[in-house]
Amino acid sequence: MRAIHFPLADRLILTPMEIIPMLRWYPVYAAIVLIFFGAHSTAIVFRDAFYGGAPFLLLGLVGVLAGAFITPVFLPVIPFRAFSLKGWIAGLLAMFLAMKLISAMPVSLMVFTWLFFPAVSSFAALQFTGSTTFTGMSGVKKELRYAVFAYVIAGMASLVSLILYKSGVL
Amino acid sequence: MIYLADVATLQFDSDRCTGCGMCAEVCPHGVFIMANGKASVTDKDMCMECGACENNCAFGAITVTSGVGCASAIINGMITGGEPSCGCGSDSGACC
Repeated sequence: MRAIHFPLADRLILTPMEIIPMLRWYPVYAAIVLIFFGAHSTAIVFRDAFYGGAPFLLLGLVGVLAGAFITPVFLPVIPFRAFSLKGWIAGLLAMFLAMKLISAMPVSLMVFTWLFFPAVSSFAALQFTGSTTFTGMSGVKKELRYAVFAYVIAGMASLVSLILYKSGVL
Repeated sequence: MIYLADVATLQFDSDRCTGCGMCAEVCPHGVFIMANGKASVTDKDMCMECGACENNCAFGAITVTSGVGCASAIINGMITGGEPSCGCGSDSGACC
């Protein structure tokens, strides 16, 4: 019998398989962020776009890397077997560290940050199931049943928090 | 590393097993061992549903629902209503 293992070197080599496809969407994400923060009722203010959007450009990158790089590298030591949970935990830890570099932000944006980016990390980590040597289709299907539901809820709540921020409520 | 518990679709019928040992030979995770002239399952949770055991069992003692085990492929299948497909060979850049 030839037993298959999944050592650190193999996991590391495979990380670009998920990082590159996800980062292809990064310019789109960056454009949305800059427009969101720069757009006002009367004009687009580039200063607001940059200063308001810069932290979220960083957090977006951190969110993807937490799920698509950190999670695969530390796969055996991150708690739980489900990749979506591993990615979510990595995302929460990454946000905790990244937020130390970012100045205070309104409550609505704080809520958005803690809901949206760990969910991105979780999704990115779940994609890594396609690169492993030990995950099976039935398990991934089971994970997707609750993960997709959680992503939709997190996405909707994130959207509401952005609307509240833009409307000046929170 | 072991994935989720109690999800693998692996089924083993020991009555049909002739003890040829092919399943133990081809399984990459050592799910099967040979004992007393027959195969037996050690830990079903170690099964990655690759289907090698079923394909190599000439006596129909093993069944497993094998398929593409990556989230992208399964999501694609959900969206299109077809079988899970990761788009290997396309320009998607990702493959599982």
